[in-house]
Amino acid sequence: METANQPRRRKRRLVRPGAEPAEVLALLRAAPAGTAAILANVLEDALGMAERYVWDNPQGGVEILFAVSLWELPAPGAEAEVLARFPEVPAYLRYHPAALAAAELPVLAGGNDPRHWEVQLLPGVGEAVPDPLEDPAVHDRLRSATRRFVTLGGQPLPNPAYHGGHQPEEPR
Amino acid sequence: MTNIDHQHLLVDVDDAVLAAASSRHRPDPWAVTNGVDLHGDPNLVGNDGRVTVPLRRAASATAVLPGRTVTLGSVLGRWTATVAAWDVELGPDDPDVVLEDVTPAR
Repeated sequence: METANQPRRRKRRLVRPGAEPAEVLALLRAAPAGTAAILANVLEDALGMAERYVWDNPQGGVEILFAVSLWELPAPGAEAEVLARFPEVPAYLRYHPAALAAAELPVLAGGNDPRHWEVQLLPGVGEAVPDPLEDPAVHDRLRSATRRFVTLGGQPLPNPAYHGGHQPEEPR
Repeated sequence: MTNIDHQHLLVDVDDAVLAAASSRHRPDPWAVTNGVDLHGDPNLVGNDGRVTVPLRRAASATAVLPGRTVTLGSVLGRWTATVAAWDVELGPDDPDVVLEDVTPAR
């Protein structure tokens, strides 16, 4: 809820304390088929998160969380184990934490699942009045960040666990 | 059910609130297509530790009233859960459904 003088209310995202992505071998992003669908899916997920959550960033600030989910690869060659979670998803993108860090895309340990991570696509946007989600420039920046993130993931790879069923609306 | 004492958490949703929510609600297409009550997963958790899913992700508002046992689902899987409350902290027009006892569905 937003009033004249107060920013829209958001929840604080649960971030697992002490978890660092540096030890993670790779991060996988479940994805629909086709670049356009991937871009739309990432953008929708990031906006859905931004509508409801902020997070306490490591610099001590509070910022709106334009984040999407990533899943930890626990060991070399363990893709099938991770992707078995996503039998309804035809493809995936693969990220290295160092590459995300180099691209200034913070990775946080969001949620309870120890293998679940999130990448903040648009760092540094704080709560404000009017709400930043009402600012077209913020949406432009988020679209650019989404393209950068998807490009960084390289060529989408086929999910070996995909059962060929219906197309999912929301890979995570 | 967990004792919830925050003012923004509605353990009992009265008829007026339900009628208003139902009139605004549009069934979540994924939830309807896949036969679940709520489209989401247990990763939707705030720093209070509660799993919450926006009401707009429900197949119907009535099916996710507090006290109901519901099916939660996404491409990640299916779970059963109990609706503990509706959370109107973010605004009465767009409540969150607060879940507890979230367990993988058999």
